[in-house]
Amino acid sequence: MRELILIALLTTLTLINFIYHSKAKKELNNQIKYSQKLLLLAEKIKSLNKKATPPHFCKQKEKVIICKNLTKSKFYIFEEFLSKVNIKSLDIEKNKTINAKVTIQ
Amino acid sequence: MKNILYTKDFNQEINEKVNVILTPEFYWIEKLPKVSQKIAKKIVKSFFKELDEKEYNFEVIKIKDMLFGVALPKKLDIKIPKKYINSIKLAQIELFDFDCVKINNNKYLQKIDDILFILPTPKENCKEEIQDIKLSKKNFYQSTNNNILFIALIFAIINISLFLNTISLKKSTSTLYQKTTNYLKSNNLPTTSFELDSIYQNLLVKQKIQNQIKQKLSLITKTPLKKGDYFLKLSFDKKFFIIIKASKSYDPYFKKYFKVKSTYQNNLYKASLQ
Repeated sequence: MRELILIALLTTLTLINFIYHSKAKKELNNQIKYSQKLLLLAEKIKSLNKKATPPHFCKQKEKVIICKNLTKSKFYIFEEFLSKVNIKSLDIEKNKTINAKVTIQ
Repeated sequence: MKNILYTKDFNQEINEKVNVILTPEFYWIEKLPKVSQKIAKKIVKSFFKELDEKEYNFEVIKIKDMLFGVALPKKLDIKIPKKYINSIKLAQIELFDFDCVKINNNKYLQKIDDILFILPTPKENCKEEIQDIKLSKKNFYQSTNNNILFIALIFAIINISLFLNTISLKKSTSTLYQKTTNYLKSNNLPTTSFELDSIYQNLLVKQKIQNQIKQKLSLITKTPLKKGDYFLKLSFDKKFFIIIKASKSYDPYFKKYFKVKSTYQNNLYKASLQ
């Protein structure tokens, strides 16, 4: 009789333990999926949120970048920079020289 | 439960659970000197030098401050079905309090120098009934109990391994959560998928608009200008505005890609492009 009680107790304990273990396993799997989702979103945000450094011949004050006396070669560098930033407004003028002013978002 | 005083010539038919009390026919016994039980266990074999260790188990039993060495055969042949055997005990322990116990008309258990022997003649006042005796807790040949212990051990191992695994899973979950949170914090991002998704969707919209702006800017900068014509101004604020020092109107080109509001006067082509 005592043996039967012992086995019954151990079986119950094992069952409880197994249920708890399965729950913990499920919790971990959910956390893995959730973390993967968050990290994927974070990576996507990072890739969309690229910030480029203005060319050395330009001056930046907060979100306004001013480039004066642009030669043809400097203008190409400036154009490449424009392709990497989010443009809010742009103003390029040519008198004797080319001057540009860009406001980024 | 019935107590059976079991002898080699036992021939009753048993069909109920019984306690089997082995008579001295089934074991060898020696009184041990007064030493500690620990020492007695070490020396007990030396009292049965003539017995083969492969065939006997040697045990020390304590009865009223006296130690006895018992040699029990490893193979015990009992003519009672196993399912009816509740316990197997020794007459030496269970009937020690009596000087004489009747087994049958030819066999009597008698105590001589604290050891029970089987003798053919009775003493006076020999006890005939053993059903009323109070049995000790000591059992021998506990194979059933050993099986139970084995099963219990397996259960215990399973339980411990499950428990340790659960702890490790919990720890992994917590570590993973911490790592994700730290990564998001180090990138100045919120920690919920709802907020992240919202940021992502906003950025997607922004990216789409920027792509359109850059595509239009590219179309403007790649305008096929006639020789001697050149841009005087190019600006953008919600829509593009251009001034070209031009020898002709550039409406035909720009109207392919934009909604155009333009003027062409004094060799100046001015246009608002959307």
